[in-house]
Amino acid sequence: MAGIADNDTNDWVTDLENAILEECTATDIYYICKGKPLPESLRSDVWQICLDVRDKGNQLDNFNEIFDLPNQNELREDCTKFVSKLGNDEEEQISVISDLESVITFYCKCRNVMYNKNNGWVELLIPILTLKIPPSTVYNLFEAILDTFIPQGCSAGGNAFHILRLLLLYHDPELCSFLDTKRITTDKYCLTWFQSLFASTCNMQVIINMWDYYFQQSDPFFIFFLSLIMVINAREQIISMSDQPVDKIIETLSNMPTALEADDVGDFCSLAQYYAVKTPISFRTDLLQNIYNGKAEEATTVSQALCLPVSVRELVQNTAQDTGNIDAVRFFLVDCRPVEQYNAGHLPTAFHLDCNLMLQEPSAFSTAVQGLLSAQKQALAHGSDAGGEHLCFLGSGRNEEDQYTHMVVASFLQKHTQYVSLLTGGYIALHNYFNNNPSQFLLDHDPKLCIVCAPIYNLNMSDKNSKYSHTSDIFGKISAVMKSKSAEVKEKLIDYIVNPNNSPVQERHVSSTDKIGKRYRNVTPVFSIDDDHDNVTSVENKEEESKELVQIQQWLKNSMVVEHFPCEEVKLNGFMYKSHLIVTASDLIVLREVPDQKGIAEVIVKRPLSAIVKITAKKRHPELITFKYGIPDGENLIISDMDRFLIPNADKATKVVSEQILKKLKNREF
Amino acid sequence: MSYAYLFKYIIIGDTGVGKSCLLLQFTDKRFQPVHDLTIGVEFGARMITIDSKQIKLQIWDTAGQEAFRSITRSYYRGAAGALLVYDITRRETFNHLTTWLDDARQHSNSNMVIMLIGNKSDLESRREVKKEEGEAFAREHGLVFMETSAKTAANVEEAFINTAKEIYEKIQEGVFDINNEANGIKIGPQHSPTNPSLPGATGSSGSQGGGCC
Repeated sequence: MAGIADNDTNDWVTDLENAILEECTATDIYYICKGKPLPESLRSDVWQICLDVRDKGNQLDNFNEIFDLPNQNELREDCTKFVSKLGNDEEEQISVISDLESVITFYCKCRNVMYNKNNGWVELLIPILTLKIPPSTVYNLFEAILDTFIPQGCSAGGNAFHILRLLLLYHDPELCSFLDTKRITTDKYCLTWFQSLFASTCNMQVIINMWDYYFQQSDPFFIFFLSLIMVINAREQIISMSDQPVDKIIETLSNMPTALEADDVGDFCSLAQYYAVKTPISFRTDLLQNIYNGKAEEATTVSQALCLPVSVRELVQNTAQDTGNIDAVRFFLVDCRPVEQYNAGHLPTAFHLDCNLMLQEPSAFSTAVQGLLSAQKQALAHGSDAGGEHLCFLGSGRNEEDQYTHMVVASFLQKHTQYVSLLTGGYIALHNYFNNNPSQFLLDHDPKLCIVCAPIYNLNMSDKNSKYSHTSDIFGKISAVMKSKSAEVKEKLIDYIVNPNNSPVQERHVSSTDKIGKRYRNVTPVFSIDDDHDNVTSVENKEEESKELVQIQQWLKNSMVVEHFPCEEVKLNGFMYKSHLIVTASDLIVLREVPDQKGIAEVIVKRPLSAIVKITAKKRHPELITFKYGIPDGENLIISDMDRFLIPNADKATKVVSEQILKKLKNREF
Repeated sequence: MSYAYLFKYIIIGDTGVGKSCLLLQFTDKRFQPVHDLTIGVEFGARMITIDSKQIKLQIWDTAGQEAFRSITRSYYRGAAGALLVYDITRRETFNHLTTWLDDARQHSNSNMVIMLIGNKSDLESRREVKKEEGEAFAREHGLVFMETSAKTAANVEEAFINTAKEIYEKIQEGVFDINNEANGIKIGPQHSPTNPSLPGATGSSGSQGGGCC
């Protein structure tokens, strides 16, 4: 259908006509029209569908036709003034004025609100009146637009304008700083745009086309991005006005939309759409209640935010999913906590930038920042899960450390770094998000040292009479395993598999005690992913295009299978998949369970045992086993790929694999 | 470079009174007439000498705007000294001093030394706040007072150094608990009795002081 509509311009109109006759929603309409300007004859119907007012009936029936608002005269004057500009004949003017005044008066009475001069209502109504529809429909549309699309904090100093500033800071920090320095707050030039959805500044054809797009899109935050484009578009002109009086700059800015022509609307809107895609979305959910639900002016958090906030949920989901859309937001997570906190648990994708460095060794800090930027570049080039253009900073979530985090973030903003955001609630919020099992998602998570777990952990430890309580159960188990098994397992592993570097396994992190300069060599696409640190050239999540589906039980009966271990495959981004690790005489095979089909699995990968060059276990999590594949290159190993699993029976699994490898080696020798 | 003490300062006051310019003049000895608005907080450091002892000043320059107040507040705690700045050419910045002072007293430790600064003394022709008014306010609230010009550098050194002297005296008198870092004072590496393994720990002039800072 879409293809035909593109070929023949009239077909989509027919589709639209048919859709209007049936039950349909704004989404259906957007699917048919793709934001195009609507045919004049269908506009009023489409707007009513998009704004969901078709069943509202005639609310004006309840109007008692008494015009006794406290400022009724003022309202009448305004109506007359605006209508006289329209240039209709006199008789028509009088009827328009009376409709305008009725609708606004009734609205004031219904909602028990005051009419204020210049609140944008008259401007908002005029485009609706051009539809030549009955006053009751005008009223319904007006009411719906005000409720859905005009932000509540839409007065000078309101929250809506703080958000707009944060968006400008996110996309164009230099321009934002220029305007901040001139003390030009966003409300000074955007207020009328927001109040009237641009109706007060654009010509009628532009407004109508824009609203066609707007209502189809039905995104209440679209006004923010339209305004953002308007300002960013004017950037060169504004910055060149540096020596001119502030009033002049404000005037130039607020008149920007007047230059817009009807033909530009499509491009203008799709550009705004593009910026919307390139912006983290969690600020919307966090603020939607606030701006559109009448509970305005309470949230000081918005007006006090240093930069755009990002929620833990968005960060975690963003890292997990690969949308394939190259324009979409991808985060590069910068963990600013002190090194000891970082070492007690962090996301696998986090880059560590110790904020104390900024205070103690400013030159080392700037080296570290350079390292960060080049690591980011490298991660982007590798298409790694840790790579992203959007810097998301993470603090601890506690005031005493976060003052340093804020300082680091501010230093990036002052350098006009684009796409800077701060994780709301910091590490504590992140930890709480994984409340069932933080150790599963956080690397190196140590309940004894983690700022969230430690108080609980120590409490439980001191309470010797009670057995492990529920919350400490998992920690208890891990630490017990750690003590008994960890050393043993590791020794074995290291003995079994020859480590050509013969280097002891050590923790790696960036800290102020490391030597500068050496620190960022061999930066892998994902940071601190492993205990050891060898020259991993390309660790990418290569997934085969076509997957082979198999019956698990049938497969296991195959005589080739030496041993099989239920396990979970752990991806670099922390995601885990229920899998089966199958050892045959020659290969290591990974089957991944298909979530909705019991007993069915995908064959993820088949690795020849001969390709395994290294098997390692995490010091703190002996169940987390990493297989590395590659070829020896002189004294070094070139690692080409790796898999990582959480295997409950890890000890046995590594033993079986190692035995098979040894067997193979022996066979070759004979 | 090694130091005997580290003092943490905070600079507060309305937006546009010249806080960042004062800091720049003190740390870099230069004046920048056009300056980007401070976002959140900026940071500067300089070494000074009092009583032939090296003292490192760690100075936090905060944004004056109301918008960043909740962020800047977190910096009061753990500051040993504060420079409270107003602009002598703008009366309203003087009128807001009480609010700033209340805020500072409420969020800082009680021993914090506060220096009142009337900045932009070079703009005599546009003066709106008399020097005597500043003096009276300082007297009333127990502050040290000084008029400065970040542009001509007049009294800038003095403002920072006199504050440090006052803190230093309080340390000598035993008013400050120097072992509690929350007071904004840190003993330098070569003075720390708990850290004898550090080079230069003998308490000599620290000519071979450890570390790279």
